[in-house]
Order: sequence, then C-alpha cells, then structure tokens
Amino acid sequence: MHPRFLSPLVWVTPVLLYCSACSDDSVAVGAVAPDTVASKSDTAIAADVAAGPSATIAGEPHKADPYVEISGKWDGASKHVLLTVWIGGVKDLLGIAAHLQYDPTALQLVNGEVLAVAQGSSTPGSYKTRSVYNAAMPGRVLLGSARFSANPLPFALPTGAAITREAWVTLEFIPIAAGKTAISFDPHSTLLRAADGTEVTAEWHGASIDVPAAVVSASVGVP
Amino acid sequence: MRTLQLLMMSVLISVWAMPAQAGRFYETPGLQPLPGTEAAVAQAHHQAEASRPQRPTPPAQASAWLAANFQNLADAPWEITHQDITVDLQPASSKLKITIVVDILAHQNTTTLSLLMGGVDSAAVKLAGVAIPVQNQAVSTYSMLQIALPEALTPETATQLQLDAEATLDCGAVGIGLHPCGMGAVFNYVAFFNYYLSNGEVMHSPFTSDLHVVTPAGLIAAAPGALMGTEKLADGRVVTTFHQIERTDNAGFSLAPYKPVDGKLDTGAPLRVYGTAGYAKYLPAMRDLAIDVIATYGKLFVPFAWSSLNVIQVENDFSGGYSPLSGVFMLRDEFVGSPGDNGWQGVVELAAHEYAHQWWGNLVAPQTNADVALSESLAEYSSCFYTEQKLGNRSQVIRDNISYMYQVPAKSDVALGAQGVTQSEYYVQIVYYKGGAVLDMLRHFLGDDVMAKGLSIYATDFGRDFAKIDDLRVSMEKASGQDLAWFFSQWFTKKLFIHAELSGQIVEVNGKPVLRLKVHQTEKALRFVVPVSIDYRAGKTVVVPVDVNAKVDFVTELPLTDWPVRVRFDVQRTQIRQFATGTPADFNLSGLVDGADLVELALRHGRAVVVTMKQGGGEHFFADTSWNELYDLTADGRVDNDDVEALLGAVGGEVAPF
Repeated sequence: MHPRFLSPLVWVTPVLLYCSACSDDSVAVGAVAPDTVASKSDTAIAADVAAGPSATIAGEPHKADPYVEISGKWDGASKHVLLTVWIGGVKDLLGIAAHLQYDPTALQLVNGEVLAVAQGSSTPGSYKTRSVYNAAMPGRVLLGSARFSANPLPFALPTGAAITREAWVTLEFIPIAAGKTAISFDPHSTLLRAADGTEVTAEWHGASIDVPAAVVSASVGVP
Repeated sequence: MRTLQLLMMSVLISVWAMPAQAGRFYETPGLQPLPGTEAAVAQAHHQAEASRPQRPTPPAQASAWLAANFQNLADAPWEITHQDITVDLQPASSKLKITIVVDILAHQNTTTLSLLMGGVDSAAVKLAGVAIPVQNQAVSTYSMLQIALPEALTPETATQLQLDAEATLDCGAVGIGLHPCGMGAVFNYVAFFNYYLSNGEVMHSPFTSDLHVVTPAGLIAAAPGALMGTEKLADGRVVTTFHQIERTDNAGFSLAPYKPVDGKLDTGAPLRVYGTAGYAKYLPAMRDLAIDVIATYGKLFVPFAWSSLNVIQVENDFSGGYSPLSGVFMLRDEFVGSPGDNGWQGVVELAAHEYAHQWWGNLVAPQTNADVALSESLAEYSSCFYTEQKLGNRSQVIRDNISYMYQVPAKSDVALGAQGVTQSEYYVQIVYYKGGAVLDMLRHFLGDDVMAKGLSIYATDFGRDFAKIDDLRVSMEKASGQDLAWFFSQWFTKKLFIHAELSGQIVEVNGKPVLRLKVHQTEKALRFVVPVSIDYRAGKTVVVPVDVNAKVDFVTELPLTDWPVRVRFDVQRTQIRQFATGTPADFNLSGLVDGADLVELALRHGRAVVVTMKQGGGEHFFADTSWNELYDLTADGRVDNDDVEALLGAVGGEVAPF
C-alpha cells in the first residue's frame, strides 16, 4: 500500500482540500494559503492551523486556461507540507510532463504520486494512463503522464482527454530549514501535448512555502 | 546520508545503463504486406508490371555493336524505316495472326537478317512476293527469326519484306498478374506480346509504324499511337489503324465495347481515354488526371514527346499498368474513382507511374537490364513527386521507403544497378520502392529545382535514345555543378541502406543552448543528409540539414536560438535509413529520460511495421507511414507496451557526455 494511505488523517485532509478547489474553478482556492482566505471549506484547515505553528503555502493562481498550478496545505499531525499539482482547461490532452524543482536544503521529499489525470475521455476504458514519477535527483522531480490505447492499432491515431480541472500530482515534503522556499516547474521541461501532436501552450504556476523555525523537523538532517 | 548515497547510485546506474541498450536495429525477415492494404495493392500492381518477360539480351555481336556504336546510327549495317503491322485476334483460340510488311534500308552488304519478335508458332517470309527461308528459333518467350537473303542487300537501297506469322498466346489464368493478353467476356487484349520486329540494330532505327487492328463488329479497337481511321472489311469487321511516328518495339491493343472520352494534352496532342459504359462517370476524372500529370511532367522534364496518348482500360486480371510509347494500359478498377474518393490516391499513384514511363522507358530507354532503374525507379520517383505535390502527402514515397527496408532481408538484397537485379525475388521492392526512394533522397539533397533541371538535361541529352545509370549521374552533375559520384556509387552499386545510431544532447555553451549531435554508423559508413527538426516553443520549428560524412563516427554542434521542446530526425523520412537511438528513450534529446519522452512515445504508440493476423494468420508487413523506428526501443517492429515499459525502466537516466 502506498504510504500516503497509512494515516487516515493524512488521507482525509487532502480530500477536503481537493473538494474546495473543485467547487469553484473560477478562483484557485486551493492555490492560496489557508490563512489568507476565509471560506467554509477552510474550516478543517484552520483547525489544523490552530493546533500549532504551521508552514504556509501560497500558490500562484492561474489567469487563463489551460493551466497547471500548485496548491498546498500544512498537515499539523504529520508536520508535513502536502502539495497538489492541478491541471485544468485542456481540451484534447494526450500527455503532460514537467520537472518540479525545489530546494533540497529546505525541503525533504518523502512521498509523491502521479494520478491518472489523462485517462478520462469520451472513450472510457480504451485508454490507460502511464506515468513517470522519479525523485532520484535532489531537488528535481521528473513528472509525466500520457494516455496509451489499451488496444493500439497501427492505423488508429490517439485521442485526447478533456480536462476541466483535476489533480495531477500529490507531493509530501518535510520542512528541514526555516524560511521561504519556492516550488517551481523548470521552464525548459514543461510540456502539454494534444492528441494531434501539437504543443498546448499553458500557464505553469509554482508556489512558495514559508517555513517557521518552529515546524522544522529536528529529526531530519540536511543532505 | 544513506538516502543520498542511494539517490546517487540510482542516477549513476541509469547513466551507465543507457549506452548498453543503444543501437538496436530491427532485423527484416522478409514479410509479405498485410492483405488488403495499399501496400499490398501497390505491390501486386508493380509485381504484375515486373512479371512481363524481359527482352532477351541481343546476340553478342549485336551487343558489341551497340556498345561500339551507341548514338551513331550511321554505322549500323542496316535499319528498319517502317513497319506496317496487321493483327487479327481470335479470342476463342487465343490465336494471333500477324502480318508485318517491313521496310529495310541497308547501309552495308547484308546477306542475313536476325529479327526478334514475340514467340510465334510459325513464320513465313516473302521478298518481292517470293518465299525465302526463315529459321524460327525460340529464345525465352521470344522468337529469333534468322532470314537468309537470296542475295546481299544493296547499300542505301530500300527493300521490303513481308512476314506472316501466327502465335498461340499464353494469356495465363485469370487472377493476379500482368498477363501478356486476356480473353474475357468484355475485354480482349494483347498487351506486351512483342509483335514488332526488333533487334540490336533495330533498336536504333528511327522507324515509323502503322498498326492495323482487325476489329469485330460492335467492338472498338484501342492501341497506342494516333488513330488514323477505320476501314470496313467484306465480312463486316473493320480495320482500325494507329500510327506511330517514333521507333518502338513494344505496343499492344485491346478490343472492347469502349465509350471513349476525348481530351487534349498541354502540347495540343489528342488524348483519348478508353473505358466501357459502366465506367463512363469516372472517365472524365481519368482524362483530367492524365492531362494534369502529363502537363506537370512536361514542365518538370521536357514536353510530352508523342503525337497522341491513348489510355486503355483492360480487365482486372491485368492487375497493373503497362505503358508503351504513347499508350497506357491499366486494369479496369483503376478507372473507378474521382478526386476526394477513397482510393483516389491509389489511382493517382499507379496512373502517375505509368504516365511517367512516357518519359522514362520510352523517351529515354534503359540500355541494359542493369539500367532498369532508369525506367521503373524514375517512373516511381516521378509518381511519388506528383502525389506529394498534388495530393499533399508523402505517403507513397514513405511507403516505398519502408517497404524496401522492412521487406528485403539483408541476405537477399541486390544493388539497384546490379546486372542481376531484374532476376531478384525482391525486384519490385528494390527497383520500384528503393529506387523511387533513392531518387527522392537525391531530390532532397539537390533541391526540387536542381533535380528537375537534371532530369530535363537527361531527357534532352538522351531523348529517343538509350541511357545508362551513369548518364543520369552526368546529367545531375551538369545541373548541380556537384560531383555526385559518391551518391550514385553509394546508392546504385551497393546493396545497403543507412544504419545509424543517433545521439543528441543539448548543452549550454557560453550561456546559449547548443545541440551536440553524434552519428555512429553501425554497418557501411555512408554519406547522407539528415534533416534535424528543432521544435521551439509556440509551435516554431526550424529544420537544419546535417551532412553526415561517410565515417563511422560523426559529431557536430548546432547552435540553437532557445531551449527547444524537442529535436527530431528526418521527420519526413527523406532517407533510406534505420535509425536507432544512442540515447535510448531520450526521444526529445533533452539529455534525460523523463516525462516528456513518455508523452512523445504516446504519440507513436501503436505504430507498427509488423502486425500479426488473428487465427494463425501469421506476421505481415504493414506499411505504416507514421512509423518511426526510434521509438521502437525493443526493436520488434512495433511501438507497443514493451517500449513503454522499456522507457519507464530508463526514466531518470542521463545521457553520458560526448
């Protein structure tokens, strides 16, 4: 079982956050730090915040479709930063890829997963998402998802998926140094490609994380 | 610390592992095309066309004469100035009665005549109404007629002989094949039965000819040449006469209830399309296609040389096309279709190939069987160029390219210009497909204008004559001002194609991105030009031709204006090549196997040149024109889930610097 599913608290909280984001796709609620927006769905987050000091995560909200952006929250129980990478406003998605960059002296990546974002389409079941998740390089996570036909035929061309707004990647970090640190996409690595092979131009937004000294884990050494 | 060590090991293992996977090439087992596909249909057409009997090599003496006196007719001992041929076909018995009145002009004292024609059962010769001895010797499917003259021909004095012969035609069973004849319910045709008299000497005789076709009542006769009119016989049949203003030794005719459609070529020459009533609605499209193809070739090469063109529909058992001088025979179903219809591409491909033979094979004839590329490869090249220009796609030439490469096992390959190429079991794949693709490659090397200029020079210099492959080289060199010996040596005298591992990585030099490219040739080191497509952001693509020298290893650097999204090689498949990646799975050449490579693979997933038919149907070649072997990491002829797994196993691997 994926470690993320071992703790019920860690599992439930991101679900609440995802739903708050899904309820209003005109504003990237999930992309904004919980302490700067007062909304009903932030209640649970506020409860976590009230439990003690927390890191704050501020995502850059998108301005137009299509986009890729990051939202996040502090998980008081595990003292981990939980991030979600969202993709939205894409009409004919065949695949998406990027390198996510972070400062390995400020954050330690402990978990991550690429979700089956490109799977859904007008032909459900006929495509399967295959994904790349590789965190072997310090400070750089290689991410990718693409649709592959379950029954490929040499005379059939691929079709794409319509994505309104879906979570693409989840990541879990331990803060290991106090201060502000950035999470971003390497601009040379970002790629959204439609099923006809054309590159889809999109907004790619990162996030910043402010880590107070009080939440820095004492048990983790700086690599 | 332990974590860091593991991370570093992982990266190191990836870097180390990648070169070990490099350079995997698919080994061609010689598969047949998947039935029902365009490749299968095209191959059947071409195999049918290629199956007609090759002209026997003239006797040694005549060959020696040809070699010594090429382009020098004055030295010929004698020549034919006119052939007047009457053919009377008996479909029920497949018998063909032939009467030829031949005008001979001797230049030297001549006591015997050796004349070649299609195989006949009997032959009788008269000189001034008096029978003279003739020996009928079978040579392959031909008859060699040795005529002993009662006295030597007087130099520069015309002599007239009459030859009466009868042949039992071997029309073959109905089915696939370019039969020399067909006796059916609708069409009775004789295609390439060589009723013209021929020989080494005759090949250079600039004679005229008249063909008189005895035509049963209710039928229409169609044949190459200008229609001169009809004459009624006492038995109710008519004689239809066609006139040729040029030397030819090959023709044909057909009898059917045709409803011809007329047109005019750009030269003003009359065009007639002979189709039956059932195909009437398609005939205008066939006529317009002929007009456009002939005009296009006329502008590219030299104007259409003949005084007329007749396009003749024959039965489907004919299977392909046949293009003697000023006439084109094509199977019935090639007359079904109009622009925009399914199958129109196939109609255009075959028709454009056959019309090209009016230049390549008729205007300029190959001197020997080893020069057959000057007929078939040039015709196929011309057709590919036409379909690319007019239908807007390169599917024909790409299909040709990969059909050669993935169908001809290395052990069975033969050089395009080899003496034995016409006898190869892969003659079609080598001469039509590879030959067409080789000339397409030459066009990409020289450019469209220079290529057309070269072919124009070739057609002008060798028009109404015979040529060798080397003559084409000379013409191309005249047009380009370049030494092309390397190209012709490489592609016409050697049996090979490009096998190369390509490695690339984008590095930063003085703050600017540079593409470092390495080409490692794994078999013969060849010279070729690989178009490198560099895709930048916002859909901007720059194509840089990289001239790879004939060395095993070649390294170059290309300056880039920005960090590219991806770099690709030979997107339009202009080279006859099997590439393998020296940086496996790093499809976009970022230097790292990552998610972008997975997306690139998704675009090609499912492409295949090998498909397996269900229910024990075995493996077949599939001419997938989107095929790109660089994505076939497991080298099995398919970009499938094995390749996805191979890529996922390589993720994180970095290209070792070079």
